[in-house]
Amino acid sequence: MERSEQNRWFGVGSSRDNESFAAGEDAARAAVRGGDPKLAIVFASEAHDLHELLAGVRRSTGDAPLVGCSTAGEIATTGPGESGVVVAALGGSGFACATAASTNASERLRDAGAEAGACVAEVDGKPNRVLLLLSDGLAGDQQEIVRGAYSVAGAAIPLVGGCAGDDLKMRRTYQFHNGDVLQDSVVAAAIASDAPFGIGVQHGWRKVGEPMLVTGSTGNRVHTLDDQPALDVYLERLGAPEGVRGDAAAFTRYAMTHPLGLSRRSGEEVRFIAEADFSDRSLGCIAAVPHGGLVWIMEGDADSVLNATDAACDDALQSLEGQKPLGLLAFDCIARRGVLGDEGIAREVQRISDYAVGAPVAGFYTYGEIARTHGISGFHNQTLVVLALT
Amino acid sequence: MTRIAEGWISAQLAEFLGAITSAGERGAAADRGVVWAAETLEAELGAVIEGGHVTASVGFPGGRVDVRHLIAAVAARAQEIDVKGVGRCRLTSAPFETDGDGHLVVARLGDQPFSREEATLMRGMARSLSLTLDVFSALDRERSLRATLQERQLLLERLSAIQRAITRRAPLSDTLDAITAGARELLDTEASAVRLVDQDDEHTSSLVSSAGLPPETAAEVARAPVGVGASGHAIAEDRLVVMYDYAKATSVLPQLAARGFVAAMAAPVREAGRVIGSISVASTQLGRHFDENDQEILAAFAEHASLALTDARTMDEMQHLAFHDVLTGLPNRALFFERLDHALARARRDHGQVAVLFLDLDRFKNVNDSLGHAAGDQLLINVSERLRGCLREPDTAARLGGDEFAVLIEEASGPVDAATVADRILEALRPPFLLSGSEVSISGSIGIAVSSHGQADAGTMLRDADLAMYRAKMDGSGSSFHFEPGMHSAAVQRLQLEGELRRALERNEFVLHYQPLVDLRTGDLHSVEALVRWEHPTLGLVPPSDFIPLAEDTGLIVPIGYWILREALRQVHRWQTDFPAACMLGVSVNLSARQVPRADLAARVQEILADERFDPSLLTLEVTETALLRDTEAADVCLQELKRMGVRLALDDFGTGYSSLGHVLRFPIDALKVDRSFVTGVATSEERAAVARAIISMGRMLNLETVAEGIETDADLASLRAFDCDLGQGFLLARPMPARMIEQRLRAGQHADSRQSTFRVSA
Repeated sequence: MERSEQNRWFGVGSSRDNESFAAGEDAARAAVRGGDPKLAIVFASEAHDLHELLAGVRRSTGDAPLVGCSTAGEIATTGPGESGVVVAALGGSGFACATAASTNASERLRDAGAEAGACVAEVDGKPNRVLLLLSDGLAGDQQEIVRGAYSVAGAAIPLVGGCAGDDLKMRRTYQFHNGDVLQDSVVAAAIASDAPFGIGVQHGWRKVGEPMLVTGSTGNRVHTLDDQPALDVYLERLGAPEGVRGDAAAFTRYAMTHPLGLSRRSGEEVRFIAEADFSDRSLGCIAAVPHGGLVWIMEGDADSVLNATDAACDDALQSLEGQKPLGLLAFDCIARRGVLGDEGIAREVQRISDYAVGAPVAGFYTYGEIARTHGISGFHNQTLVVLALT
Repeated sequence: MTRIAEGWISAQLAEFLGAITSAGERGAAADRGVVWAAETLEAELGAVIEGGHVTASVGFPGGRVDVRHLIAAVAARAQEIDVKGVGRCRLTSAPFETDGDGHLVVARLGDQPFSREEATLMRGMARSLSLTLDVFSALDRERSLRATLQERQLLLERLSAIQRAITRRAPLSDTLDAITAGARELLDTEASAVRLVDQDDEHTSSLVSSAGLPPETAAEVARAPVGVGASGHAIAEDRLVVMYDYAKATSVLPQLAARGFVAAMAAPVREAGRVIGSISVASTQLGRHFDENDQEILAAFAEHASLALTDARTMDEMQHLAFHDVLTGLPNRALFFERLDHALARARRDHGQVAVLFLDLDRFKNVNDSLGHAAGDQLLINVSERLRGCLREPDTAARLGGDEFAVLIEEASGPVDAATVADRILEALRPPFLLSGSEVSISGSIGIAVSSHGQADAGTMLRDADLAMYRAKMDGSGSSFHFEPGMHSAAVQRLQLEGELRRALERNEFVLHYQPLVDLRTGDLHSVEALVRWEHPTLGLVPPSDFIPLAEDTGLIVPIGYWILREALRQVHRWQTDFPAACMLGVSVNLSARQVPRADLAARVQEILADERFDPSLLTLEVTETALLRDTEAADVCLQELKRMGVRLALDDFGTGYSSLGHVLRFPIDALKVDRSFVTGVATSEERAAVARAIISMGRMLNLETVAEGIETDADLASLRAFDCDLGQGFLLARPMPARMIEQRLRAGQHADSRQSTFRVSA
């Protein structure tokens, strides 16, 4: 699929071929629909031989800079997929791109974010810029990576992206930069364009009940809510089933669809609860929950999650100043996939495609989403981030 | 403001403070502070402005801040600002508490104004940030001072190696090579060289020694015209020359410019006051700057090169150099030893006596640190002059090194004679010295050793005098002390002491003294700190400094520590029961570093608390940073357990370890005891006041009680009150005293119908 707009084009291709080199080559060939390719973006299952796969992609995209990562499921115009590969490519004189990668991220998250993000300085001279970040979601506090990237990008450049996945094995994820398959790293692509970008960020969870005051927390761990042990408050408020009250795995599955919502000036932010400590009755979240803040327990169902899909696409398209999108990139939380189920995600991707009105869509299911359009905090949980290119 | 809003603000502030104090250094603290502030207020832009400069910023496109625009907006208290590339933002700023010029600034895109809570939080963050930055600044200064001292040490080592080379009559080329190698190392440059003016052609100089120059470059610049390059200029103009941007300067050696040298410095080398050459260093590092300190170091090397050359040319001078101190011209250690040996031999023959005085200047380091090394050197010269004036013809004064001098009194008629000379010296040192325009008063401590009818050799005598000098120092500055034969059996004593210490517990030889802690706001007695003393059957009362280190070394501190705890709880519980006014009297007990990470600590404390029926909330256990940082995890577990039991925890000697302020604050402590080194003299030292105030404010913000140790003057007390310190302790308030004296005071207080009157300190 492809769409081109004067001096810019954007295309997406996908493949379910088990043979990695062929899968990469085919998907990329389908994506490259114009001359002068400026960037290839690859989302692939770690089930592939990733070196072979990238070699295949580069057979089609040549020396064009390449970024990408392993996933917990891929998204293409044709629908969601697993164990496959999706390649997006863009080019034409209306785009300018630069990429960078920074390794050993877990030891120096902020520096890694800044190092990768520094490529944004290499694309200047076009009115619109966005910085795409793909990181190892298992490397540690992702907000630190975003802070690092923000320190070099500044307030004028939005950040979007997601954390690489590994089909929910939670062992190791991979990031791609040109022909290299990296681990524990951050890769970035700075995209500059003659035309505007649009970004939408929505989660689709509803507040349940009254707010609670975080009376005890350190970093990602919540000890007490309203001066009571946090786990007890959480289970009681939700009337959680007996089965999740002492079983770690069952609790995590249950908590995936019952996150915490933080009250922020600009709306609420979602915090995925990863685990509970059954002995000290505390909750462990994926990102920091500030002491002294107000939180709600949240819940979602297929409808609310799909409504968020609509809202995110709407938001992304609204900032395009009436122009039709050339294509969409979607970073969708794996937890939303958990709520929607296989059928639901097919409907979700269909909806995104509908919004794209014929323009191609590429994306993946993430372990965390990145979108900074205001403020500094740009790391999200259980959220859908949509980037529209025109 | 609602309770929730207040809770939010204090919680945010605590987190903010935790984040900035754990940054480890000033720049990182400012960076973290500004990011944290912007994040908390959900803003895009933040900056720290100090002294008209932006010292940290976040969010400005390309990291470029229009400083003048921003400062003008802050000065005008503007509510809005237009930031290039970002757009129109709401602006809020808060001044630093300690520095009128400093501001924390945050700007948010859009038109939603900052709320009252947000403005309050901003002020709190600016305050915490400025205090933290002050602490880091003080630390940086201390660190750089330490670095300077280390550098100085290294310089002295290298210079004395060169002196040795000269006195050993090493070949001149070896000595010069030692000089160039030393200069290159100490000044951290790529190359160093010594050039000499040709004897038959005063317009040309030759390279006679170099370090770091590639052989081909050395060959290229082997001969060079005088007046060209840094060296040439130093020779021609007889002054120290510094050149930057070497390649672009006029009259340079093109061969060096081609090698990438960008900065150079050269000093003239003289013989008998006449310039005969130069020593130079050169760097290829862009931006390399040679500061005053660097220039002084090069001058010192130039001085030594001059000596080496002079020496090589005149052997007579050489004799003097080998046995005299270069700075003061006094005999050096070698000559002193020689003369002492002779004097002792004579004394043995004639049945006479010889006395040695060992003089050490008190706080000489302060002069060096505050007025610079040149002033320090001048002081040493002046002291040596006064010293000479105190002596008779046959006596010898020598400089042993640093600020140590020795005096040999031949034909001493006895200890009295020596003491008279010592007093004369101490008296002579009394009038202030005029150094770099300031009047400096300095005292000395003198140790005296008198030969016991030919028994001693020179080494022993000097050692004895040295030992006595240390005793004199302990007695206070400006005094002298006679060596006593018991002194050097100290080592033997230590062994004996160890055995006795082991038996002291069984023999019940330990006693506790109690030092009151006073509430600085009301003047009331708040609690007492239990301090152990050892009543040795023959030595009498042994001070803790004499046996605690030994007890720590041997592990005996653990049983002693538990004994102290039990005894203190028993005693204080008795007072709580006997004196109604003391029913809430608290007690502090020190935990040793050997006790803290022990797994059974909490259980033992629990057991003792139960046995003595003591309210845990009235017990404060004091731990030191060192104890916590040895094994942080074990310490944390240990402290958490104590905390759960309701015991209070205080961090002792706070401020002395410092390396990880934020780290330490993570432990569940209730109180900070500000170390005496920041308290004593707080009223007169701005530095100490800044640190003490920062620690106290920080403690307040983290809801920690603050205790000032070592309050000795009314002025210090007034300062600490002004800083809003909670509790105080020190000789001014009350010395440590035996239990019965505390009891007397409690009883007196009871009769006066209040315990307060006995400890009240005038407000």
